[in-house]
Amino acid sequence: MPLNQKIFASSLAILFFVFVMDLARRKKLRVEYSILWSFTAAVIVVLVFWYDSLLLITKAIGAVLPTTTLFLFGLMFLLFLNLHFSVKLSELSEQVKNLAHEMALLTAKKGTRE
Amino acid sequence: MKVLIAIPARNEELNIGRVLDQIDSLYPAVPVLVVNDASQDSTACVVEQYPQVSMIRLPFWMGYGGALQTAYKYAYRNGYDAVVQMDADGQHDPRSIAALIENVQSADVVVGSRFLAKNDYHMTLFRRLGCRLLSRIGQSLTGMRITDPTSGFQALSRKALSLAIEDYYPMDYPDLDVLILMHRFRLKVVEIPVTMYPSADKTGMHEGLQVWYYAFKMILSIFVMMLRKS
Repeated sequence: MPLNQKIFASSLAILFFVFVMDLARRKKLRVEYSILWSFTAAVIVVLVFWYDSLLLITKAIGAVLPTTTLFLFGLMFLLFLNLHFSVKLSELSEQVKNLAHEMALLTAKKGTRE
Repeated sequence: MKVLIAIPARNEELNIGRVLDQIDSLYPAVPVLVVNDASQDSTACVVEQYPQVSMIRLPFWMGYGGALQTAYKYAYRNGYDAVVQMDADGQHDPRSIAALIENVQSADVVVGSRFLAKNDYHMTLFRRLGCRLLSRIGQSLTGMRITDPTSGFQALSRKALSLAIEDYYPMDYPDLDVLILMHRFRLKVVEIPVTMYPSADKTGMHEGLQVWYYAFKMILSIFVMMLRKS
């Protein structure tokens, strides 16, 4: 990997990490998610400085080009991430639904027959 | 037996008054609850003109399933032995409520079927075929013969309510999947003839393009229901 590419890619990863930490500091991002994104930035840095690891993985999965490996794992990561958010959203929807029910039941207007 | 008549309602200012008048004249002693599902018209104002009717206002649009479950929770917490649920748009004839109440004393879920009685209700061929298909699916999975699996005119016993208030109650189009859920919990599900009329002024939940989403969602919901431990 040429030096300017390494510098560019690693700088992006480090900037991303700093941005994630700042979001966590300002409580815009929950700590559990900041761990995930920090790990992602770390993986990018590792791949930049240890390019051979990418070649090893490429060979292991039977791909020809390292870019194939990057795209494949990138897409899988996004797929699982979206699935994780769907699970979280389902949980939150359920909680909101139950909260709405509780609130509605507390403010119910009883008729004269009850 | 302490029975509640529950009516989920959204934007039914034109129909709800007539429905409440009919119920009032036929069952003057039975408590009625309207669950106002964040209506954007004057549904709430119309209901307020009936001081004998209880009303719950949902803070945002929760849909038919959400509104129904609110009614179930209300009934369960207030010690009701059974709930009769019906639509607010005048489709369900209140005269059939008596039969639902009578039958829920010996069953857990009483489904009012428009197909077991002579009705003026006409469905499109497409929708009738869909109903038949769901019926067949229900029968092959549970042995239950339900001719009207999409009927919202039902009565639930307290035992059925105790299940219906749980988180696994399907919010989206609670129809055949709910009946299968009840069956899996070994509740007695029966069907009786009721009178229904076509909805006068709007498309129903199972009309138009929604029917495709409904069909897909129903099959998926039933599949997931069968995968769960009973």
